[in-house]
Amino acid sequence: MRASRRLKVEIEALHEIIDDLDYYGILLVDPDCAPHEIGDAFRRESRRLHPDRMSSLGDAGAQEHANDIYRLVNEAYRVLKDPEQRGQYDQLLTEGVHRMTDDARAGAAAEKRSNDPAHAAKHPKAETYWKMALRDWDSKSFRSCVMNIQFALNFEPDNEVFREWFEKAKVARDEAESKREKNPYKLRLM
Amino acid sequence: MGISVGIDLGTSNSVVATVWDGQAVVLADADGRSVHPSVVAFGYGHSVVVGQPARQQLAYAPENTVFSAKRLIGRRFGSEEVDRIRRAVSWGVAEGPRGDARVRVQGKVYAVQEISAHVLAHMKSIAEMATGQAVDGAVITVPAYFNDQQRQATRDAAQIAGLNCLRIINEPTAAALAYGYGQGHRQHIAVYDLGGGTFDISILRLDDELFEVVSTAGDTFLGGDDFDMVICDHLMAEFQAQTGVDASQNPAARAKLLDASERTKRALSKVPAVAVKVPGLGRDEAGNAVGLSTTLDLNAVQRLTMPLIQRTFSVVDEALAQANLTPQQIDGVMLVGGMTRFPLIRQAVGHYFGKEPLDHLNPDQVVAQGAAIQAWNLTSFSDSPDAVLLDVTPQTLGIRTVGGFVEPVIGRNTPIPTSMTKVFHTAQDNQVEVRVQVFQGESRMAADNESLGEFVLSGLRPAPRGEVKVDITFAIDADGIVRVTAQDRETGNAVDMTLEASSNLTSEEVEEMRFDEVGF
Repeated sequence: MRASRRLKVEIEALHEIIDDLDYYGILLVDPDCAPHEIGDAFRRESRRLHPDRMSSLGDAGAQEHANDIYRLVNEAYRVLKDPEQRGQYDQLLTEGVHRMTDDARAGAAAEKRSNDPAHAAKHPKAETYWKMALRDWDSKSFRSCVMNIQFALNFEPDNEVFREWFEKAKVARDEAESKREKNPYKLRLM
Repeated sequence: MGISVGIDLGTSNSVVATVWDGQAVVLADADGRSVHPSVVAFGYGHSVVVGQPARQQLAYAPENTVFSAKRLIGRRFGSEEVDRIRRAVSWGVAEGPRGDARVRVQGKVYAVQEISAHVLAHMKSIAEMATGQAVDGAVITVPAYFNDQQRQATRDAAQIAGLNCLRIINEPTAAALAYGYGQGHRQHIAVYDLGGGTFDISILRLDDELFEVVSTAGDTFLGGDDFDMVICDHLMAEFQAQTGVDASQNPAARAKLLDASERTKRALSKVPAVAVKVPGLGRDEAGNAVGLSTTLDLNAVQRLTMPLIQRTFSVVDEALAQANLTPQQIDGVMLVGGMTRFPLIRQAVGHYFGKEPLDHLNPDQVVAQGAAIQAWNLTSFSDSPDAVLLDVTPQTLGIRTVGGFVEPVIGRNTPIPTSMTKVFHTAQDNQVEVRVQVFQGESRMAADNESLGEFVLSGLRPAPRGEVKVDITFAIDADGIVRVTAQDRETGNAVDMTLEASSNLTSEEVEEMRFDEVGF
């Protein structure tokens, strides 16, 4: 019975502080440890902290805390075992973020996205036309692309990205049209 | 204090085991049988018979005898899978109040959970008769590839049966536990589990007492039943060729041939050729009773079943790829499920992995034994545990986004228990409700995945769009069952949430279906 009490005390103490720990702290490894040490640490902590060990004690509260802890152990392992995610996480750590949540991930993605024209629109109506314009661009329907950017600009006349693409699309349209003129075998559908 | 048991609730057969004197032993009934058909037969009035006697009724009252009901559990009426089962079984399939598939017998409609509950109650009574002690709790196994709905339905079946379900665990994981328990192995093993109705492959890393599932894949529509049906179709065609009589629309003839197919398949596990004689399948034009008389050998059956066997290996490929391993890196291959007794399967598995499968274990019993060990683990404390199971979720959990796509929230093969929080913003001004549709499966399109239901968050604060943020936490517990909670980020208040469009039983229904307590 002593061993089970010790485990309970350990679980409760860990539960108090676990929200302050980063993934390295949860797995009890050095932040610059080798990749194989992550797996070893996960297995060591699983042996120690797996919530199934608590289930025979019939203490619902401690069981729930053990579940909370182990979910974080799994989360830490999931992120750290993947070199790419570990790299992202290390970056987040320098910004004081401990957990690789959806939000944190989204933050990292948002930075990437700011350079991505797909998210240039702010007004919802402009967005509709802007998306259509980008689709037109992909399918090389430049005439329609110019038209849709024009519509988008009606809602956001000052949007830099729109203006830039507007010029680009006009050039592409004229280029395409001059080519088409030279091809007498193609029908023009206007 | 009673005992805790492990129950392998199979498509065709079920087994119950317990840990006795430190050994996982399979419990037999009064006739000495340890494998019990998962068959429930309805007689006149309200009489219900389960197991071997029920199986015997299959021959003369097939429409009142429910077999392979597990294939329907947690499935929707009208789905492609359910239509396939309907064509294959002699009993009726009906639509439940929430679009779930149910069983219709003698004009009465039963939830599939009720049928499974009869089997579970039968297993419980066998264990109580064998040990002379009450059963306090049970670990019940399910195919690893079962989704949330199917797991929840299995839990509900236990509750209807009055059985305290300690845990739902995966069949291959249980098998691995029975194999590696107390052996101190350090190796990678593959568990090839071909049961009556489902196929699972799990890759595990064994490290002494730690049983870590690295990846799992499966097909919940591929099992021994399909082999029987292929053979049955062949026999049906053979019968028509011999006699000119078409018996394919006659349920009694079909049941007889299906039974003959199953027995033929079993016999072919021991001998290379079998004579098949099935009398009384129909009447010819002159009104004489005609039957089938033919022979089947292994080669013929191999030709018929090769496409099915090949299907299992494309699933194995997938699991190995997910585990980042090659067949050569697998140290041992376990065969589980009655269907793996079939010599063609053993051969194909041996060939694929380049090594003979481990064969010192009984493929019919290992799953129940492993479940019994886990039941023991969960009910007795040990300073240094003998076994710690680390399992994964078999299918990706995601939510529907614009355009009918699915955004993954928790990927397949993520260790459980686990949780993931997503932030939702209101999309319109003064929006007070958010609707979230949850799916499970690997397709990018929502329509091709299994819908788990729809959550409606209501009572949001009216505000300009994007201002209200709700944290929705998706958690998968140790049973592999999904739980969703929502919280208003600003106020920290839990958001009211109702689950709609789920085909599961409501707790009221479960309570209503509950069998009367039979004291032991």
